[in-house]
Amino acid sequence: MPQFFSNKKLIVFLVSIILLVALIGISMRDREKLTLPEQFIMDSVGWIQSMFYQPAQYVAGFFENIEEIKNTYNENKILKSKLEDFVKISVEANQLRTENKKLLQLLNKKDSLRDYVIRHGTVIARTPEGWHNFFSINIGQQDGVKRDMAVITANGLIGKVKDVSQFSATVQLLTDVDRTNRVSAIVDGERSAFGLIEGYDIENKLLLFKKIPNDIEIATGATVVTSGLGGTFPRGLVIGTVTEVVPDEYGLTQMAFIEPSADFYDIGHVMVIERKILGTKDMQEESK
Amino acid sequence: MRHLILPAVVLLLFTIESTVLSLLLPKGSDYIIVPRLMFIFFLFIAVFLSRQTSIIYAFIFGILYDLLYTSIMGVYTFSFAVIVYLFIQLAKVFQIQFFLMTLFTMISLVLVDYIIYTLYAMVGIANASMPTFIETMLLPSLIFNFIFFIFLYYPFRKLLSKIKSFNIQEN
Repeated sequence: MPQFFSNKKLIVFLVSIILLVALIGISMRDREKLTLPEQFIMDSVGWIQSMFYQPAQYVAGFFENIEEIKNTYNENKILKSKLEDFVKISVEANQLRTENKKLLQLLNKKDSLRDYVIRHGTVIARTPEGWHNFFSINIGQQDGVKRDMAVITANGLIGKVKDVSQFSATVQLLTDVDRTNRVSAIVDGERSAFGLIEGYDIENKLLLFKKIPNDIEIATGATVVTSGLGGTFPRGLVIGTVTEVVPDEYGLTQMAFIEPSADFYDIGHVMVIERKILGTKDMQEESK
Repeated sequence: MRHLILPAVVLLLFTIESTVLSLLLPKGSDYIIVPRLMFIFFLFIAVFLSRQTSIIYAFIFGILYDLLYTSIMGVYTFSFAVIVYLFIQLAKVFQIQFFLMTLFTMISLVLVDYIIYTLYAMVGIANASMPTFIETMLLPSLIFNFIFFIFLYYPFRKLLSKIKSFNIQEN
């Protein structure tokens, strides 16, 4: 049996291990921007991916449709019963909206954390790898997408923009395990409870809503929305509903389990949200 | 044009993993299946085409994989290149036939997944415990990749021998 490593190969192996550790260290840092070669590769592979993903999605969608037809009858019944409520609520919402507008005019307040601009995008690829939950979308810097913008589907918040290149962008799902992946949120209620969405319980498929003050009681079934206080997210994007509240590991704050309203696995079209009020960081950039 | 066949096939497998297969395979349900078609193809290149080419492809597409699909550089580059190298050392010793090829491919797949798991566990990205990792990721992926390996053994082999005959003709 020949020797596995000669002396020269051993040195190459050791140097490559050192390089590996250095590379991991460098890429663990939070980088603001991608370098030009990285952007170029992302865009050109993204172009190829988009040719494959959409036809595949049509095929997968066809089989899904067949599956859905089975449930149509029951669904129709439920929807009809909801429709009556919907008319009532939409009229009420309209009235409230106009009233709110008038009151804001009286107060001479123009901007609100709730106002945002929507950009529509389509998913072109998902990472096949087991430990990351990323996907790519077909809009990028040229369309005005910036880092850390919120990404939603019609049902609710799913994640934020992680990296941007000229014509595509990478989105990090809320379920991704990463210490920088957290969202400031509030529970809808008489006293709104602030906290952070950080982490994901894979076994039960629930988001973890941590650092809620102890003295606030949270009802199960309450809706959780983004608070609009951190960085670039607007206020009021729906995240999910509370299923269970427990004290956290030190007993100082509470932790709630949240059932996400959006489906993290069946994603086709997404909306990238830009808040109208700039964060302090953006203002600094613009004044430069 | 004939020189472009091999890179085109690898690029095709690379994109299929993230587009077609990621749509069809369950992810986030109870099992996570990670397709490794491209990696299996590198092992085929090593046996049926040329050892050097396979290492170079493993390295370059490892970098691409890191860049596009993960947030950390170097992990896939390192593990792809090292495992392909070890596989080549084994292939030098044994006469590779269908049975041995299957066995060594499966061993390489386990090793690749294991190295990536340990590296990610060190930096805190892989937070699953060892038994959960084996149960939810390693075994389902292995079964899936085994099935694909059986289906693709003959086409891959034929394709590579064709490319080899082109190369010989030109020289």
